[in-house]
Amino acid sequence: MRDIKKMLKELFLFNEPKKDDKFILKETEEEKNQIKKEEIEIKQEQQKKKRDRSVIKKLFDPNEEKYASSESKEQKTKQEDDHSQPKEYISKHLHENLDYMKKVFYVPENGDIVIREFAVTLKKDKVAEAFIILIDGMIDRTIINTNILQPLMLLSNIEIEQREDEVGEQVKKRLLPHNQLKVTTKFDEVIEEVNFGGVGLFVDGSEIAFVCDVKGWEHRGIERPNTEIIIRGPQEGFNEVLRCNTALVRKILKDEDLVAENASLGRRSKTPCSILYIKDIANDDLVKEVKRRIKSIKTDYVIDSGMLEQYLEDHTFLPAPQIIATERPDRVAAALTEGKVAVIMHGSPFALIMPATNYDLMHSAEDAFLRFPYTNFLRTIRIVAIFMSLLLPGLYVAITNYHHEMIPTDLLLAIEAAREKVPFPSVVEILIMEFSFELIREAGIRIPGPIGPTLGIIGALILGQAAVAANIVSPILIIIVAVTGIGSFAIPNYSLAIAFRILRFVYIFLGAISGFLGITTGLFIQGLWLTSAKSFGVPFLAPFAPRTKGGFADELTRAPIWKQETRPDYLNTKDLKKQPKISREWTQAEEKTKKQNEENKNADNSKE
Amino acid sequence: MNKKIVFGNWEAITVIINMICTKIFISFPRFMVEDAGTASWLLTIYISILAFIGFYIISGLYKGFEGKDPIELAELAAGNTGRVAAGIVLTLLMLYFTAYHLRLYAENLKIISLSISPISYVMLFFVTGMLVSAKTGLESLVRLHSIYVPVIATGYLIILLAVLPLFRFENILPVLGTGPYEIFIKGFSRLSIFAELILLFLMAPYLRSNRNLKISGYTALGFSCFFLLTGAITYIGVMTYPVALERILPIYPMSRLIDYGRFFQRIESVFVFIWAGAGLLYISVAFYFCLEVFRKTFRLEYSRPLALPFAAIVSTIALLSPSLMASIQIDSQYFRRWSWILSFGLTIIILMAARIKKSRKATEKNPTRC
Repeated sequence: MRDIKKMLKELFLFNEPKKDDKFILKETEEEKNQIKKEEIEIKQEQQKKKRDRSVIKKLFDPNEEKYASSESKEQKTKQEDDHSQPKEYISKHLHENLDYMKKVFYVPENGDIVIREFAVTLKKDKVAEAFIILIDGMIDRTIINTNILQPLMLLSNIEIEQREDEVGEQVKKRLLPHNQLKVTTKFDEVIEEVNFGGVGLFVDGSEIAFVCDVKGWEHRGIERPNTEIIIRGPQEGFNEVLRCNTALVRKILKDEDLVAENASLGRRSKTPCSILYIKDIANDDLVKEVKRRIKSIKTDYVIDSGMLEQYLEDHTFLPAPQIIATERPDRVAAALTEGKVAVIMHGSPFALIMPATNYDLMHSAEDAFLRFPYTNFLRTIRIVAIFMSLLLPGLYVAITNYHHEMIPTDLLLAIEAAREKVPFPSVVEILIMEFSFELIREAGIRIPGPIGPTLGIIGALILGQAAVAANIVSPILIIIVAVTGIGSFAIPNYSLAIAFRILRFVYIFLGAISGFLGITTGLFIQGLWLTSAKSFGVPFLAPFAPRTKGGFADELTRAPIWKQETRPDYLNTKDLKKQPKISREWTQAEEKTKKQNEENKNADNSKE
Repeated sequence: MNKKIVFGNWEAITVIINMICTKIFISFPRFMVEDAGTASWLLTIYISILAFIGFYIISGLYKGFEGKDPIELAELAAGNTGRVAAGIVLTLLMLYFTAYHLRLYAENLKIISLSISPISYVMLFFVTGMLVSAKTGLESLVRLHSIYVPVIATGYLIILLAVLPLFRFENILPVLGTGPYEIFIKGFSRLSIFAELILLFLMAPYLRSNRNLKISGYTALGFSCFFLLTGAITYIGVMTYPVALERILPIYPMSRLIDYGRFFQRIESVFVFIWAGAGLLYISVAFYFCLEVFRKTFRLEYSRPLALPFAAIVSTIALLSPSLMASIQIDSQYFRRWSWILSFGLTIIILMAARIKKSRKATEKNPTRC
């Protein structure tokens, strides 16, 4: 109740606007240079201050360094003494490390935590105790046996001429042949890696630990994308493994400028994710903004990119999504080359592409692979589908209630004849049908596979035959609802389709209360809503509102592939050119050869 | 605080086109026929030339006042008194634009499709649109123009093309209509058709430079003249002179004449979208500037708190007129005859005064230069 009151207050009463600086994708280089200058100045100032401090300290206190080192030692000893506090640094004594790891991972209560203790031969007369810690089911056992345990336990006995003096160095340089090895002095890093399919190795007498990447959990293979099926083009889709997904993108873009920055999400889930962008194309401010938003998320867990999308988007209440979610690596690769940023999350087969405009949501993955007339035809169909999905039921209600004159007489008579026995007004009739349709659609997703066809039969009977036979609805309405449903399925973006399903009811209501005037007012308000929205600093209706270059190159319609010379202007990329003006050089070569042939002929004729 | 809004020429052009041309749907072609008879198209050309001249003079005077709107210029010329005086006049002008069009569009739609609904109910939809646009702000409103105005223009041209087979050349004869005196002397006052051009000067702070102001002004005027001329000439060419004088809504009966076979007839309802869309855009812009001018006049920090009270005032003013005919009469006889004095005359006076003041200041600072 309080929330409703607050919402009503916010709607009708004036609230002073919040003075927060919203992110805007900057246009000019000057501004960027200025920001850089300011940053450099701040850094320089900070460094100066530091220097000054240290100079003053040194001047007045020559033993400062000694104090500092003794302080750190004190800290360490304090930590060692206090077992109840979380430890930061790894101890030289193996039993302390073992006790601490057991405590952290709740061993023996935790059933899937494996701790294996063993001995490593360092020199003929010197043997060091060691242990590894891992989580069962998340690692590859063979790699651990052959690349970690075997060399440490068995091969360490082999006589090696050169042996390192330090224990850690000996293990790292001579005994551990695993390729992905990380050396750390902190417990946190070991724990983090073990949680994500790594193995931690502690050796007695060493203040460092080794972490080997031995991930080997069961996962889904690379399959066809379920929600973005196409006929022409690659048929690979993402799966739930982060590195597998980044590799799929890298497989398409063999570009050393493609950067995949790591980030972690969720205080408890610590879900790893990768922020992908092409360094020499993507706008630095955009990349910074994406990173800033991701790093600022404070929550316990983020399981899927669907959750991440909700944390990242600019406008929570806008009906349209402001980030594209895709299962297709080729689509991510194409977006990256345009100058966008992608985020891939471990555990989610959907990558997020940002920023997104309204027109991006109307594109299908197939658009780029089809010849341009086909693409334009399909896009036109899609736009019509969008309007049908959004407005058709509302228009039907408006026409039947307010604008009968626009229906041709024959059709009017047919509609009237069909509606004669129906007791409900058309608005109730359409609401019943739309609700039934939504019900069947929702049930269709939840229903187990084998019962699926039954639901289809029930739906067809209820929606089609029985409702008409019982005079609950008129046959023409069945057509309207069916066409609307088909229209909503033709929308390529799943989230957008849902948005239109909701808005459709609003337009039915508006059509019922005032016909075309209500629908126009609805479109006007929706238009205002969309034009005021931004996705990561990019106006949502760009490049048409505001108008920027290249609106017809590959936004609303698609120009021939050789005409698409520039990247979207609204992204303010570092490199605007995608390809030279003459991308098909063979056309030029032919002309040149023709000219040369003609010149040769003329020369021959003149000789004759 | 209001953040600095800047928008492109295209957005400004579409706003001005819509502001000037929406009256085609309401009254403009009939006004022209009333004044010039069959020479309504000639009168349109004449006032268009006058509008171009007027804009040429104003844009010339704008040199040195880049990014300044008439209120700021009035302050420059006559201090706070000038600002408040000019501000009040312009606020009243904007109030009239909003209220009159609110009433007229509501009445039109009542005639076209909502004949049983009370006028206040129809007005409610326009007021809702107006309030939402005041909340979302100018940036989204002008961006919306850049998408909707081309659609509205296309729809309008489709109507004209569809009725073109009914065009009779003899309907525009005699060429000079009611005579040269009526067209060129009395017709001068119809320059008020372009009264909404004042909005371009109010948009000057958002257009970055005088060059943009000029480009936007000339292009918008060019397009507007084209649409007004095509509207006037088609109306008189399709309707005969006596019939043309009787129509309250000129384009609506024209769209009712569209008849292509048994199926494509009586499709005038489709054009409700165009009319209502154009009306919503017009009223929203006028209302926004009404708030903005008031805010600037009295140096208020925000204009949004004014939205609800001003919406109530606008609705009340719109309902003052006893009937549709009475409001059309007021508009035709008074406002569309004399409002040019405010939009062109006042702007020129303010600019000249500001120029004189500026040159005086310059001479005071540097007396040797004279």
